[in-house]
Amino acid sequence: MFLKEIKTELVDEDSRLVLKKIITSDGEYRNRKIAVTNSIFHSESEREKYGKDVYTSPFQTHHLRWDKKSKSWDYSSIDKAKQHSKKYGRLFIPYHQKNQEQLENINWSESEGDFFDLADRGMNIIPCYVPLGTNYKELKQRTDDLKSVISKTQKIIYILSSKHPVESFDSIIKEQMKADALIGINCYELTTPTEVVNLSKLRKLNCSFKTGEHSPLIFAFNYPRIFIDHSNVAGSFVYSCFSADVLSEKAHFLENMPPHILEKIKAKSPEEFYLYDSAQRGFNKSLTQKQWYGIDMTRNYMNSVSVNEGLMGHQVIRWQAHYNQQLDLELINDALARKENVVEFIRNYSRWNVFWDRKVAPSFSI
Amino acid sequence: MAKAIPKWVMNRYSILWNEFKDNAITYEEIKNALPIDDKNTISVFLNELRKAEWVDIQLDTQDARKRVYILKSPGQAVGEFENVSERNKNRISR
Repeated sequence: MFLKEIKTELVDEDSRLVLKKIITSDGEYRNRKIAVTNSIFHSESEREKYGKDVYTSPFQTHHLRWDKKSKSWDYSSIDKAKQHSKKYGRLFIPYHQKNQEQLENINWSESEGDFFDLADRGMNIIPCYVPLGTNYKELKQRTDDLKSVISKTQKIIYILSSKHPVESFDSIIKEQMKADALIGINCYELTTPTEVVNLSKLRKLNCSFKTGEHSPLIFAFNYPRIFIDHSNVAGSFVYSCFSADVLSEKAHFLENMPPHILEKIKAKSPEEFYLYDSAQRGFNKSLTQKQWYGIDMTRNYMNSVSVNEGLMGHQVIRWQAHYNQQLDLELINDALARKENVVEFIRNYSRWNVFWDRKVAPSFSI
Repeated sequence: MAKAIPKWVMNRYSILWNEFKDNAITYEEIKNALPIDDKNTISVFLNELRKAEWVDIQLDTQDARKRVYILKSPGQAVGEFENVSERNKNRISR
């Protein structure tokens, strides 16, 4: 499957949310799609053994792990993941999961090295990490050189950090948006003014396209799955509010974790797992469910998991959370398509409302 | 005049109304009655109630730094809401 075109379907002035049409060789999709991530890919592989279905997302991402011991990227499972995406007709996007320090210190030599590591492996969509301080002129010169050495079927996705200096972020985004490019944003917890300013500017530009016009495709990478400081709202919703079209949450690599943390994870009881609650549109744990609903939804849910799902209880909870978050984003798409009052729709759900009230609405003034 | 409130705000308002009716209540009492919600959610909830005029907020007579909340009854709030709708209708028909 390959990407043909991205078009703006509708811009909602009040919510500043945009509905887009993603045209691929396999058909058309709407935006606000959660990608099949590393952990979901593993769950799908297990479910396949029992003949269970997989997600219908047209996007699969593969976050690459930085091996702290060998000080190199771990490409050992990329071929398997790519094969899996091919089987289900998905666009495959590899991504070097860099921490803030790695992203802030990257230079062009390293960025090009990462680029060719993936170009040489025959990836169709290749990330190009834009070093801090790069201006648009330099970026264009560099990427023109990169384009001249890749094949016609390969496409570059430009990766910027949401903590990129505001002026340089603005100048790059302005030009790249016009060029209907693939844009990736490395996201964080949305705690600094720089992140809010950059993302608000991105959203403003995203809203400037008219119905029927070409539009860029914006990817959000590496964001936290749950925003604990914002009433446990899902990261997928958070970045949907700031114009992300494709969402790929942060991967947690067990190989990189110290043994005592691993032990803690293994010892977790069901009461400590976060369940996605579609009534409130956010995550909660057993204790709060008992206090609010009078029942422990997490435990009830785990008791209903059948062995032929091929997954452990906590994996099923994660699987279901992924599924329900996508359903909720589709409801926003439906409301947009029907030209309903989307802000009112969002404000009907507590977790969404809290985030909207605290972060989204105030950012409209930027 | 009271205005319409979102569903989630109505759910929480109902819990508080069933427990306290129109007695003066403190932030602590509200927090204890809505145990699923963190401080963020409770302050947004109270703000929604205030904006929609479903609650009267007064200073605590014992401690001027604190506030007490007095809920309007559902009948009063909906009544005010209907009156506003009726007036708007009349304005349009005029």
